Amino acid sequence: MSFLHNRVGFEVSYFDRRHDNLLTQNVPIAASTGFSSTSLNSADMTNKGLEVLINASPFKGKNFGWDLTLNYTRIRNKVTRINGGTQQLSIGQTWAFVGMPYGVFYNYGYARDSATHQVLVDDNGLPKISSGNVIIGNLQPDFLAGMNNSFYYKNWTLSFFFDYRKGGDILNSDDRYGFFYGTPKVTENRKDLVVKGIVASTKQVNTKVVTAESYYQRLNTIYEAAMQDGTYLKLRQASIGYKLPAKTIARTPFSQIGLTLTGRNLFIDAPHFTGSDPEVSSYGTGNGSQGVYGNTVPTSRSFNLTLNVVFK
Amino acid sequence: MKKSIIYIGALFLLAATGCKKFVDVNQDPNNPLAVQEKILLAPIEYNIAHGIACGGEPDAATYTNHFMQIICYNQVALNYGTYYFVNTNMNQTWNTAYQICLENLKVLRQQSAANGNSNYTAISEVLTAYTLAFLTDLWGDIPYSKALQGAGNFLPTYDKQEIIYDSVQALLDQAVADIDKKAGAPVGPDDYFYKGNMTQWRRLAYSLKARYYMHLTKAPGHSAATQAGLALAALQNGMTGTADEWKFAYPGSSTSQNIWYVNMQPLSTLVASSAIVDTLKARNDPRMPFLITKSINNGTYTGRAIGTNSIGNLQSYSLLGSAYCSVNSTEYIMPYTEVLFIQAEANLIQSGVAAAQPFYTNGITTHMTRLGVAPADINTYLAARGTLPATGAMEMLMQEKVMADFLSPENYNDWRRTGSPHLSIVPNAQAPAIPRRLIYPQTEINANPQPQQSATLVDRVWWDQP
Repeated sequence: MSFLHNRVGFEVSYFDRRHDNLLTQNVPIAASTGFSSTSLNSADMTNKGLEVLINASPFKGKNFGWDLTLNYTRIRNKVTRINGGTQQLSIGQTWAFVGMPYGVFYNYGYARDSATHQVLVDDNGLPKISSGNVIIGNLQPDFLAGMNNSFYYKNWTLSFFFDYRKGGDILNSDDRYGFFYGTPKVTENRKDLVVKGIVASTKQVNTKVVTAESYYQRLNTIYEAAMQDGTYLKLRQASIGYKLPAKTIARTPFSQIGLTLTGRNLFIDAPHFTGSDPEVSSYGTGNGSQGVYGNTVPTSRSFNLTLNVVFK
Repeated sequence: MKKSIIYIGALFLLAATGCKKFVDVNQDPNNPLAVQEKILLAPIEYNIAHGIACGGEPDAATYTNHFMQIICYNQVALNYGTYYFVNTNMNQTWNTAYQICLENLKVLRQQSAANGNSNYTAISEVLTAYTLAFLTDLWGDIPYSKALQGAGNFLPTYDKQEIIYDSVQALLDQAVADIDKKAGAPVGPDDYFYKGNMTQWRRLAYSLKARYYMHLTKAPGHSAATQAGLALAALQNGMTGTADEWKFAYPGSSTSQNIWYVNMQPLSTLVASSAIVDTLKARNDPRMPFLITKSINNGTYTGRAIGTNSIGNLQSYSLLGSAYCSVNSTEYIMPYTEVLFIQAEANLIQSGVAAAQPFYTNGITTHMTRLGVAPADINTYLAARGTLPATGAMEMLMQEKVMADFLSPENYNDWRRTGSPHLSIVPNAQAPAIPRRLIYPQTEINANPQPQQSATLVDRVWWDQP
């Protein structure tokens, strides 16, 4: 819909999709079948979502103008059935659980008190590991948003594009490995510490002092300690351009000469993530490789200078 | 007119024959769906030697040597040595056992039976029996009768250990019967173990029968004396000497390195535990230079204590020695010494120390001779430890069996059955006692949930009774 001579427009879409018998490749099957994986119509799931797109031109003059685009996406995904009547299915790095959004991280977490959910600590003062796999995160974000601004002033143009993701967990595999060797940033503090939690055997508040080394080496075995919130704000692209005035080039064989400087990935703010870029999926783009960050080179920042010449 | 009929006829024949033979798009010659028995056998045997009987760091056979306190990580506590296991640690052995060994053994057995190659059928039966027994000894109830059906059954239920044991003995009996048919293609150099010598396969089948009879000495509804009698009867047809032992020779090239040699590379930080080093030292055992090395830094035999909270210099510890852990060391899956010690134990149970004594002595001597210990040193050792005492004979027998069957997963089965050799729980243990079984693999829990999977490390399998 658009109003005011196309000065403001918006699109809203709501969708509710059901996917039946999704064909999934490389579904792991039990070793006792004699095989490791197969292709199956493995699951049903639903996607409910809301997408909003707003276009606006708050100013539109001869010398100055401003265009603004905002978008917002929110998807609620739910796995509704898994082949063979099982409740869970491992697909690569993450899992599908019936009744939960796709992309569950299911691995070793902290052992917690069943009543208070406090972390349990063993007799040596170190956090206890859960006795089996537990759900420690989900890669689905709360919502995604983007903002694109472009301005022009006489012969100058300026545009920048921000991208925002709220939530979505990431397993920072680099940190998990690094805990053992003391390389993540958080291990800079090597002072002895007391783990916050209650002692499993006595149910008393833990007071035992442990070395930072033993603490972080324990965290190495607790995957939950390396789960991080993937919220980010990115200045994905910004560019500034200048077009030579038509008068200046009137006597040249050119009808237009322009110069544009573009920068990509100029700024990333990921307040809860300690790796370089929370948007990265380190092990490829496939279904099964989402949500894990490890052994990844940082996203490159690039600058382009473009000369645009049009002949008469 | 006649000519053209001939031409058309010739063309038709050409088309009819040519196409059928060469253009069948559903058969990819690069990915054959069926292969000859001799091509199936070699990789199965390799995987049994390299991933079941012995294995890599995260394999069951290696875990048993942590439990028996032979090896030790030069790492802070909370590792396999301190019974820290998660279900994913069990995946590798099950993948090798079910996806590679048992699945292909099933194909080999069916195909060779259909082709009348009964020697191959017999070998597949012996190896299936061995693999099943290996699995059930460590995991108790395991999938077999409903397993290995691919898409036919994604959720195979588990068979009770008792049932698996029946299957194991039945498979070995069937193997003997198939060998005695003396039919079909001879087995050749594709058989890494016996080079197609079916007489030796027959002896192995009987020796394995004896081994598995002895596993049930404490099983409910079985008596030790009966099992000992069955074992001794089976060994009437068992191995007759070291020439018959079940072994796998590693050539030692870069692609055929002994698995224990690979495991002992510095990257793993595995070293000899102080338990084994101090035991060898205390007994003045002349096998010490063969079973363990001197530490690089000190030139002394020094083991590392399991479960300690500090990390030492890797080069200050002894490693496992040249006899078992060289790049080209032979791996013994069922050495003749095991047969001798089974006879010693069975005679001890049936008739007492005097009857066991000659087999016991022969077991030690055979092992030392194979290693290359000087006869004088053998005699010195036998003077000290060569006589079974009236009380505590079983403990001493098992102490020596552990050395003679060095690194064999059998030692862990023996320890669970007899409590010998005596072991103490390690410091910083992550289980309330020394494990008595393994937990189920994560891949099974994920894709085939079964009630047995709640088992913990300290639960006992059916035959393991207090």
